Amino acid sequence: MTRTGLPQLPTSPPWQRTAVVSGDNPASDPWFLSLDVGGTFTDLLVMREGDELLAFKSPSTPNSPAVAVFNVLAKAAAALNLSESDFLRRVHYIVHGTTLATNALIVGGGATVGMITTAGFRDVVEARRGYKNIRTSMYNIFIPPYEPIVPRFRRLPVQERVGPDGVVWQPLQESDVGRALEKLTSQGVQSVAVCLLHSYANPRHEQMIAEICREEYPGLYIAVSSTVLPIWGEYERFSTTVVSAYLGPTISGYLDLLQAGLQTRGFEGKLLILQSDALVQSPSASKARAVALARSGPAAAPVAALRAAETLGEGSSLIAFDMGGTSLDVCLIENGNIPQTTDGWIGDERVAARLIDVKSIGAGGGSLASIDMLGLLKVGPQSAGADPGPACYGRGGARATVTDADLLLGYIDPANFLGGEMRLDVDLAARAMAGLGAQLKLDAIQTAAAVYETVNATMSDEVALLASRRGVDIRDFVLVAGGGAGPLHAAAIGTRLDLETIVIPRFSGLLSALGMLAINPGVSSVRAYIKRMTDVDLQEMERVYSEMERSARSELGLDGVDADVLLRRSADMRYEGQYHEVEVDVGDIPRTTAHLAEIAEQFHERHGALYRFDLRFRPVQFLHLRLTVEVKTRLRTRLPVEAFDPPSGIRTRRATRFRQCNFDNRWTVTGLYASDELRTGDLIEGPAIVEEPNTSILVPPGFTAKLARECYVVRRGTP
Amino acid sequence: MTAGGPLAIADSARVGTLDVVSEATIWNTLQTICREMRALIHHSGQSFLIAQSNDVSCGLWTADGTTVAVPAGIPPHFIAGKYSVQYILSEYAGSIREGDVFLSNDPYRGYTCHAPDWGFFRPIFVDGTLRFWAMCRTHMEDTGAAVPGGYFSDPYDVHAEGLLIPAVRIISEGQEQLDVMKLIWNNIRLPENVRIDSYAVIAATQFGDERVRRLVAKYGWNRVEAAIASTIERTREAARASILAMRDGTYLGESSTDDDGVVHDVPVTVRVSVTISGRDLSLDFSRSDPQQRGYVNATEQTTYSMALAGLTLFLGPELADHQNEGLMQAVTVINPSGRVTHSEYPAPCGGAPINVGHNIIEAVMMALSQACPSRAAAGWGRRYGQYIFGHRPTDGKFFVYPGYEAEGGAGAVYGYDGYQGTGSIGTLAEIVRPNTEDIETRYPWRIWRREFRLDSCGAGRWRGGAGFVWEAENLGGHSGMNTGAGQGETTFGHGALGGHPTSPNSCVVIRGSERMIAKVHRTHFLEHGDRILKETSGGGGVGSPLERDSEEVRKDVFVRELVSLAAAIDVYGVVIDQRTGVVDLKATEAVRRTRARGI
Repeated sequence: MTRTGLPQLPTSPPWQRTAVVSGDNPASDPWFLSLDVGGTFTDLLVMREGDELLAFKSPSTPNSPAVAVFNVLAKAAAALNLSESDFLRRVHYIVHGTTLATNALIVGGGATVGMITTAGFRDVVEARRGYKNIRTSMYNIFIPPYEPIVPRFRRLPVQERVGPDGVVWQPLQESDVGRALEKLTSQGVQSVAVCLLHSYANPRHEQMIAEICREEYPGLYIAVSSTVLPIWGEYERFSTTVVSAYLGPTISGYLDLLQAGLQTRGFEGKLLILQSDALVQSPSASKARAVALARSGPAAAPVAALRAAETLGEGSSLIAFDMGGTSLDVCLIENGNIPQTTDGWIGDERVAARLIDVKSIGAGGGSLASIDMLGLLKVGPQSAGADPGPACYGRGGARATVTDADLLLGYIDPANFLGGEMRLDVDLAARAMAGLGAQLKLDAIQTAAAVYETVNATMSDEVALLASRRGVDIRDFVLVAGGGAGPLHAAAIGTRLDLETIVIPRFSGLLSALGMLAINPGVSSVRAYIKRMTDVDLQEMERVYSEMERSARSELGLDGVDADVLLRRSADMRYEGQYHEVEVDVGDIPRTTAHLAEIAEQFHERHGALYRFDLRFRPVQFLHLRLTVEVKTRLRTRLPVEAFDPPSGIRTRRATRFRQCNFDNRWTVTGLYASDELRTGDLIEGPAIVEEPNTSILVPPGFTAKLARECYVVRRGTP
Repeated sequence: MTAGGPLAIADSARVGTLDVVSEATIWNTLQTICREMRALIHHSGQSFLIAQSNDVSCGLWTADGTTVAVPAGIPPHFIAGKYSVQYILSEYAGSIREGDVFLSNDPYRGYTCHAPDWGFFRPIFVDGTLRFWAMCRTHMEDTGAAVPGGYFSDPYDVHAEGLLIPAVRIISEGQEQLDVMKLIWNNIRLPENVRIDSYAVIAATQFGDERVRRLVAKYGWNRVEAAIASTIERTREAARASILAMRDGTYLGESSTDDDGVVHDVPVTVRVSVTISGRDLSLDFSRSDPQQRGYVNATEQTTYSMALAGLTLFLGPELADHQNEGLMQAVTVINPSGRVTHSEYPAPCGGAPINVGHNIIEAVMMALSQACPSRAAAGWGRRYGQYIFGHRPTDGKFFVYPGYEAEGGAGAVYGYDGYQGTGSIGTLAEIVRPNTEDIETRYPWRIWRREFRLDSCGAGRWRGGAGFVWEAENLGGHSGMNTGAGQGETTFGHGALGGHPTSPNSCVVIRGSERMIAKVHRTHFLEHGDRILKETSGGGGVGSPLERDSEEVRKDVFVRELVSLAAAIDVYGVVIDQRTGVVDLKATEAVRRTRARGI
């Protein structure tokens, strides 16, 4: 067995120099992969000890996502001159993130779900507390009604009733369960959500139903509300459970296929799946709680941003800025903490499970520009998507997009888009832009400049909004940019937000995949604990935390293993009578009333910071206890920067190739650099463009970029 | 500047020193500040209505009370907020200072829809000059009326509806005016609760102040001022262009509430004539019923708010994001006093957010649905709430339980069925409903049923959202139940273009084997073990039910389970085989043809 005894840990982390014997012995030189299945592309990063990262991209295959995974793996094997099995045999770990779940929620494609619920309450998930104005103004009533995942005819009641204190008001009528299951299965249901009132206080009835399901219909996927998310509040709990039931069969099927395919291709290492809370988990745990993958896609980019900044020593308050084809995912990291939320919506569904707090804004390369009825230029949120895509793709798209603007301004090389895999048509872009500009009495280039500015304004405003919501000053943050379009817009965003420093990691075109290489296995859990501070029984609280820890350890396969784990205990707290909670760090399990008093003090302070006032005269109450167990592996470490350790000093590089780019309506000769000709310590002066795999970094006039420890540091003026 | 429509303004990417990008950014930031103030109150407040239902509104006005942004909230709270600001400006001329906060809840002095809606106003100074007003308003848990709850249906006059605060300075240059506050706390039930919520609201105005100042610091006052002026102008011109696209003419709309709470069972009616002529639109409420003795009167400002809210639904989708002075400038409201739509002191107006507030929106929607049929919209499920008050058996504490669970969803609009489950029309679905688990934890009540009611959707080519069946049991002792916060037992929301109107709401108290009808606009008394059973209507329909896609009707019966097989044939004229669930297209066509000829 391994030294640490952890079943999911690398036997020999590749970048820990002491553990590596020699590069000549392939067996002791394991590789790590990160695989990011996005809507348009499937990205692969190959990390080999002491060698440069390798990036590969393959078009995604939405109907059968595993196909693209095997395609990109084959591409990597071929590039390394290895057979697929020789390649995969050297891989110890694959960390895998996927937008499969997110896409299923947004465009459909999940399972046929049935629901078993308390009689008299079967419309909770359709009436959904009356939420209508989620993404629309209250003054807009011309929107289609919400279509529930489980239509009413598949939401079946059972006689039972539990009260808020867990007392059974009415026992479960078991014959109702059999009848409901018979009806659901006869309708071809693949998955069942079990959702009863007050099950957070007493899960017995839900468990009984689940047992009947498992015994009588072993093929059914089952999601039980008291297991998926044992929180108070039936709408939020039921909705999350239904989402889990909807995603379960899809995720399970996909992961089964992936695991089998990897195995037949010779893979003997561990596959780890990225969860919405930026931890990784085994495939089996991911299948059991599929809602945990609801935001698997964008969860890794903030981690990449954090690791990049740590590597550079650039502080720990960051804006992770991942701008792709259709959207910008932005995450504000304060003091090294990647924020998480339980207030999330994905598509039209309320997901109350813990998600990385990433805001998705409809601003990406494919975002469409238009003139609204007030005569103002507007960019997004509508997108030209991958098909037809921007006008310059030449696939029939006639409307101007951000990518068309970037191209016309000279920021993108038409011959070298996606590493030359695709040629862009400047004339088509100009035609689309001129059509839009006619309404504004601007020519194509002026319009392109206005589109560039408008999308930057939209994005920077949204970023500023995130900061003000937290009560922090955005000017104290470092922008870490990535994604296909991010590095082209980062400097402009930085200027608008008055930021000093912009960091663009190498391989920032694959920011998510980069982040996945630095994520730990772990589990976050929650238990309802509704109690006034003065009524807390310390032993009872300890029992709840210990029970969560035990079940998390067992889920992580750490039973009986002396593993190095990080524990984060927190509590949702509020003033008695309030309806919303503030999450407060608890530290060790509280064993004294003095510790409880400290927690109360922290709560007052947090409340004051968030809401500008506290209410020290009111009793304080607990609502939920939370625990995150994270396994400390050397997976979570800095990227292999050692290979590029700089000779001392900074060298100013001069460009040898040039192109005309337009800045502030002026054409300017701009230097061009290929990323592989740059080394740590190199400094370039704007205007310049650095061509990275799958993206370009724009260094505007008056800016400089320095390559330091695998990142470009872009600043106004000299460094 | 006004000629040539909205596009003419944007004849260059730069207007004076202000570029369009900065203009849009400033405008969006101002709207966002309002939303953030509201989120702060929603997250830190303690009352059910604030923190669960989001009965909170926040807006920004210029120094002279021009409406800058009222993007999210409850229409009667804040669309007419400029009148409140102008009142404070005139009352306190010369003595408004940085760090002041004013509180007002008097419907006739400082203008509130009804006394429980407390508005907190903060003047925002930049470099010593008054530039903006922030206002946050919310429905307080108690306001010291003759009876707990906000909708007491039989008051003597407006004074019986609560302590009336005529815009007083409660914070003076940052100092809380404790003398005033003590007087206020002493005159309401649940003073500690209201105190907490007041602090949450005051904190939000402070937050708004910080954010607005930061915006001005970044762009400079001149550009911010220019951006506001330009946005208002663009909005006005876009609204006029929208009006130009409507059919010229005069259109009538009317809507009644069941009674005024004093004289029972005599409906009270709001009437509006909407006249459209080219780019001009006027809303005339002159023919509404006279001011009533009971609690169903609306002040002039309430009517203004509700009328504007109703009108905005019919303008373009982008104007839905531009509720500001420009929109108001595009419209004329004619509303003489002495009517239920413009009551005079001391007429009570406790019911105004619902009765006749909802009726004002409905009347406007009914009229405008004729002027622009392609944006026709039906009435929503009529609000049918109750305020239950009593003492919790566990700790003897007094509680007020504002019921917000039973009424139906939205009306249909041209092109779409009604949204399910939405909060009532007077809130434009900004109100969010409570979880049953929350109600059962807080109040001595057990809920037995809360689900859609079959055949409760107003029928139409597009049908309304469903009504509810709601049944609850009193686990506490003797309690009061006021049914002032509702209507719709004998009066109905409109259908449009041949769609059906809403149907009757009903409420029964079950005591042992006894069943007692509990009518709206009254106070009833409940005992331990009593059950309340409510059956409510959904929203109205748009277009003839005979034109509804037969496949949609099939789904209504077998998938959505909202329409019975009998109603499918009787109301929609769709023949479905009960056993196979298949639509008989031929038979359907025949039935529909016969019905359409009126045979």
